[in-house]
Amino acid sequence: MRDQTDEELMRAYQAGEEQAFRILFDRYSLKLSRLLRRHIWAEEDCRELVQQTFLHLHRARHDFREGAILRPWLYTICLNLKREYVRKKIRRPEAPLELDGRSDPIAHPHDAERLERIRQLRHAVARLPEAQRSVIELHWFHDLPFAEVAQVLGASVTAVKVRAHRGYKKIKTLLEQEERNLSSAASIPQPGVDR
Amino acid sequence: MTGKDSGNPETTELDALYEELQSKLQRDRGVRGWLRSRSTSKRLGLGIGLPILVAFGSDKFAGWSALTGVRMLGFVCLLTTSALFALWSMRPLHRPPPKLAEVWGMWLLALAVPIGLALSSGEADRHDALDSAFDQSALHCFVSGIFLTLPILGFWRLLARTSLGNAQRTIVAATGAALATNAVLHLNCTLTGRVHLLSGHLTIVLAFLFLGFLYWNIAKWRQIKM
Repeated sequence: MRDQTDEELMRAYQAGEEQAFRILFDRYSLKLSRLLRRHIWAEEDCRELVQQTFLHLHRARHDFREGAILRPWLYTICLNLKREYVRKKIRRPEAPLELDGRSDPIAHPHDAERLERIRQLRHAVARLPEAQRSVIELHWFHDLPFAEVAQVLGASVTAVKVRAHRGYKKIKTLLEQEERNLSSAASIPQPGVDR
Repeated sequence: MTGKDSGNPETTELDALYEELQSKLQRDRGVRGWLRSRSTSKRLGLGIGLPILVAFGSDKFAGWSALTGVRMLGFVCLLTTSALFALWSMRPLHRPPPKLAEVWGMWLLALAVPIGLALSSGEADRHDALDSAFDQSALHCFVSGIFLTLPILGFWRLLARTSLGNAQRTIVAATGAALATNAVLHLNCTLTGRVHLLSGHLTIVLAFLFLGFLYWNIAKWRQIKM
């Protein structure tokens, strides 16, 4: 059953196969948790939202129709719950900037330079407007194709591509800016250091 | 996860998370669990079926022969607007949230439809002035409308998949339920004068809008205090 597609598993769950739900949970709970941790600091709240996502998937199982794709469904539920959570907390969503090797698919704990680059990248992504940030997070970090990202965000594929293009361009500018700042800081003579 | 992966801290954490989820799923059974796990089209059908049943099943319903085309059109307009609100309040979370323009359009529609129907009513009020008898008929419609809206609202909230206390969805459901009541009154109330429709029927929508916004603000205030 573990080789089945998401959609096949969902149909099996609709038919009453409990194991299919467990496989979907195993497949997506960590990914959703990573997505949430970029916006929410509290670990406990992230866990709760992941559970809520699957609870809503369970409640909405009879809405799942032939031809639908499950992944955008799950991400939309998760992001809607996150939006409600943030609204309740009455605070602007902030991306955690500290590094968490476990939560980052590309982080390598022993590579300091790489970690620094990731930190800069995350910092740049966090500074993007929400509309561009959501697109980049889903497309880049979660490998969702543009068509699925558009479905999750309720926008057209063209609009999503435009947002991604602008977002990537801005990230590039921000990273170059940071690079320049770092090199200019490195060129300033340190007090007490004999040059 | 079981078998070869057990012992991995990430897997153990996942197992614990899944167990918690399972206990939540167990609690999500019963009548409410059954109702809200129906497909959205079925939930909408059930939600709108209730006011239709009341409208045509009421002993005040004058019968099909007395039903004019204009009256039926008004009923359909109000019921359709109400259905849009029902759909909005039951909107599943796998759909992206409505756009701001859609939200404002809906609120505009909620006021425009009953006001438009009242203003387009060609019939003059039976009373030349707002005398006591007229006041009583408007008050009667208003009070009975409030008492009819409450069970419809309660039923719609049972059909919703979000928590009962969700302030935003409650205000949407309250407005939709008040519009559904307006639709029922449109078929069952014998008075069709402009002032009566505005003071006895539209006020139900306004009252629930006001109560909804009050509830929403209280909920917001409580969150800030917490």
